[in-house]
Amino acid sequence: MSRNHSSHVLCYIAAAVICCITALPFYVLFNMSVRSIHDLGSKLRMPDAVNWDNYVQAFTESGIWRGFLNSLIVVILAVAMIILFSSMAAYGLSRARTRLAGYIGTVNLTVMMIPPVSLLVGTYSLMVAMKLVNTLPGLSLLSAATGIPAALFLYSSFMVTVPRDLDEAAMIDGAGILTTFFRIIFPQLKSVTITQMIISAIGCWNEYLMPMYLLQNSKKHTLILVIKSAFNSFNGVANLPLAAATCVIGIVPVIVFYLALQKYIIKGQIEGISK
Amino acid sequence: MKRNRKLMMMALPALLMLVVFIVFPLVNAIRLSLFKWNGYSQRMSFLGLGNYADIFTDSLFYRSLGNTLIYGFGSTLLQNVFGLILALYLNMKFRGRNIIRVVVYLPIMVAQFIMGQIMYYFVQYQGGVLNEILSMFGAEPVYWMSSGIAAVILITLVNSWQYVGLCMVVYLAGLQGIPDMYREAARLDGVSRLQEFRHITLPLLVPSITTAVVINLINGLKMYDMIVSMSSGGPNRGSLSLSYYIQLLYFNDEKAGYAAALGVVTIVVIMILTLPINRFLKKREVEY
Repeated sequence: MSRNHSSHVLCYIAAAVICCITALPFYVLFNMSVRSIHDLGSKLRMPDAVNWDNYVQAFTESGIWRGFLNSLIVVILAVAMIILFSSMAAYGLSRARTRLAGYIGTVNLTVMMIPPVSLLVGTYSLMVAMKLVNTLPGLSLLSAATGIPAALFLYSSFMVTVPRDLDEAAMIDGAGILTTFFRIIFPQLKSVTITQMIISAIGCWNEYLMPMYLLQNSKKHTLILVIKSAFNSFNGVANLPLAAATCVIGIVPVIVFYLALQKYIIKGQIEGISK
Repeated sequence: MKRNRKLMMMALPALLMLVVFIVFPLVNAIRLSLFKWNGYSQRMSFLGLGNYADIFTDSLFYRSLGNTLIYGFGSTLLQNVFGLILALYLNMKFRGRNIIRVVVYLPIMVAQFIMGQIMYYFVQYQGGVLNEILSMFGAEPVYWMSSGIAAVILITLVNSWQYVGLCMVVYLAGLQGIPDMYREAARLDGVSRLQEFRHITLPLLVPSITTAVVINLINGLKMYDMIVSMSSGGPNRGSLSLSYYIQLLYFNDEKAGYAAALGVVTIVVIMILTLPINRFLKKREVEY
């Protein structure tokens, strides 16, 4: 009994350490965001006068609302394409008894390993030629394409657990392939779909490199780009507290989203992987 | 077989996306890599394999390659060791363990670019958080980002910390897949905890190790955003990764052809590194 007790104490000490280490960066960011621009004091001690003006300024001057809206548009378009196209493809490839389907699976795995930046020159000149630079749908298409391989992989490993009897029963009832997929198969994939939607949405929301080069027009900037420009200096001085406040505004929605849906993210992935 | 063809059609939208936005840019990049081109003008001069030859005498290429390997393998090692420890710890039964899982995973939600900015506040020389903590103990401030290698190590540490939750999740999934009877049988035989871990848990975790290593390696070798915000590739281009170097060459140095060639070389390097590791680990998987 006593051994059990002491190991419990160790558990809670470890828990406390983990919480402190995780909380510290967020605390420092918050601390930075409520000081005045001239305050170069300690980042650990709260400033004597808490200054909320940075938040007011961030909301009114930095174009953060537009950034929020632009990010939302890109995420919704990209995630819709990722989910729809990957689940359809996984279904088709797993049920078709052809050698080609197997090859496509292997090629997909290889594509997963290609870092998007290594194709930068090829991608960028393609986007220019297709007139997709400075457009939100253009960015969504590109984000969807880079997100599809991993989603297709996850759906494919999940499709094995959906019994073929379901398809066959639907087929006997005279349902076509599209009807079978949307009415019968897709509802079976609900849990993996929710997990994949969240992962894709977060990844897309936090994307930095591609928006940076594709969206040069500041009216098209996504939230991350608005935050990035808050760090730029005006007349040689960067308003770091304002930038920190912008960061906080950018982080809070994601954290709220995460805490609300953490069940689907952590448990969803644990169950998804162990299948 | 008409049905097979219809089923294959279901994959068409996804394949079309991959062909247009990944395969086509790849072919385009290979084509451009054969030219000397500044990225925007109409003038391009054919070099053949000249760009590739230049890469092998470019000292910055070797430095970026070395850094990329540290980013990739360093993060993979740290994340797997700590991810496994965290998973073992959070697989124990105690109240509040779900909350700690949520906390460990939380930093993954923050954009890498923002996390890099926050961490920059930690490693600054003047007024940085780490130096402030040091001064509480009466120690002299340290110039954390003094050299390329120092920056590379710090960025690797921060990256490992931020994404350790991914590994934890993979290993938790693996641990939950091990039937309890194996461990119970071992306990009955009077096996010590360490032996149990070494001879039962670890071999059965090999599939999880494969997954975790490959995911981490791919992510680590791709690293870009965090380097931008933590060190801007500096000091003196000392902490560049291959991704970052490609981007600099293209948009900064206006060497688009050379950047394209470097991109192709990067893909080849990543394939050479990840494929054998994947195969090696796959062979060691235990069936039970």
